[in-house]
Amino acid sequence: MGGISRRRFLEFGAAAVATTVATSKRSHATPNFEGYPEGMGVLVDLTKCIGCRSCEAACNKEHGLPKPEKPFDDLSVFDERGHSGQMRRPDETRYTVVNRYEPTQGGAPVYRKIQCNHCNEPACLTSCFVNAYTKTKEGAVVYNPEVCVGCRMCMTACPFYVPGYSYSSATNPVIVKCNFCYDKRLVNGLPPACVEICPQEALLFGHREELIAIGKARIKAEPDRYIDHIYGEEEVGGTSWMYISSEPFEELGFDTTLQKKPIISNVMGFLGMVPMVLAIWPALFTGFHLLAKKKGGEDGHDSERGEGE
Amino acid sequence: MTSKRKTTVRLILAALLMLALPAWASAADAPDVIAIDLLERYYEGVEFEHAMHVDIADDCYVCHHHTVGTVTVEMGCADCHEESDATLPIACKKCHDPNPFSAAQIAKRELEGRRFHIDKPGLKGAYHRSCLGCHEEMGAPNGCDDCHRRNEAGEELFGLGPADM
Ligand code: SF4
Ligand code: SF4
Repeated sequence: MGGISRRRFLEFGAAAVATTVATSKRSHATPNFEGYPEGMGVLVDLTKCIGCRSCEAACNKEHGLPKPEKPFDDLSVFDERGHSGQMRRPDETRYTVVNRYEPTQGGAPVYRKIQCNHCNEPACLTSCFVNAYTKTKEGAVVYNPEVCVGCRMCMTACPFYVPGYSYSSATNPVIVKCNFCYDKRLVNGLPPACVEICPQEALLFGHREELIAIGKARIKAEPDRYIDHIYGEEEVGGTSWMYISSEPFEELGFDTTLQKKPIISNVMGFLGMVPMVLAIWPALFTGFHLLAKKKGGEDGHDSERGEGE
Repeated sequence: MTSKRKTTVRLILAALLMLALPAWASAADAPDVIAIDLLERYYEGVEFEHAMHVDIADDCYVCHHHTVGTVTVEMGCADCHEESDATLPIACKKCHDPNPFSAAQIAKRELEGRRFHIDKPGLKGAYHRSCLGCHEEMGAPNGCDDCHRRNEAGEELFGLGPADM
């Protein structure tokens, strides 16, 4: 498969799309697919993170990413803002970043690590018509650059804006993102590099079911400390990476307007009806974002990354 | 068990303990400085000044919540261990595993039906949460490099070491 050329792909493009959609439709026919029961996950307890950026450093080393301009112990990165005021995001040079938030109620700053959340039913996967993505039984959402044609549909479809685009090679553009350290660690029963280095054990690695139980127990033991919600337990059909927090999630750049159902279940019926031409995919997947929002999200609350992140 | 019997049992236990506890259970006999090299991959060892912290802490259980030969005061443990014998191991690492996320540890929790010890911090987490939590509260030094000096591998990891770019 590795040798498939872009031209050959385009020749067979339309047929490929039709097949892919048919397959996806089948695999999503089961209502309330709960993910793989033996799947692993990470529970991020934001009350424990101290913003040391060790996880960023460990990730950089593990994946052989380029060394950033500022060393990982330089905390001035927390003040960096993009063109429209957004905080740092994961991209092709960094699969994870930690950002700092000042709670509106005052009090100590909160640090939040961002990376791919490894959705139970990933929108990136369903949006990709060459099947470059796989949700493994261990819980990781991995990506095969060999078949990617660089259409960037997954970047538009991801509700968390995770996949990055590598421009390093014009002839072989690839999407890059956190892979849960799947190939080197997860399959060997090892925790991801970020989890392993975290001094505070702010990142808990285990079976997703166990992590949900731990999250609930922590919230129950300290109801005054925690917000009564595990972010990612149900959002977009559930994610392998989940968060608990002492501050409202919307203040920490989380999109709290996301629906509980997997993003794809809104559109599958619709997709089956429309003629599948390559040209309409971009428009479709731009629409996915809107579909993913709950009604409340459209009443002018702009909790998008421009503000929070 | 009635609370009266409970008290009696505890008294007897305490009396027994006084006789049975080895001498090292007293802070005075603990080493003044304890070398911790858990993070040796990226950091030089830490010389933990135990004696100094004994002077500061009101009681041993502030840190040794489970292990000073008294009944446990840790809520999560007490649920089951309230009636347990006082535990002799004192070192943190006797209970807190250095590799809490290893396949073996995860399988062990699985085997126990995920009912016990499911949220017990590993050794690194226990140290940092305990040390740093208190240091923050007391206004004591709490930057990473206040306790840890990076070794060469650590310098490299953080992007400061042998320039490879
Ligand atoms: S967070 Fe985005 S990139 Fe990661 S699995 Fe979910 S949809 Fe895909
Ligand atoms: S290593 Fe742990 S404590 Fe440090 S920034 Fe990352 S998540 Fe937070």
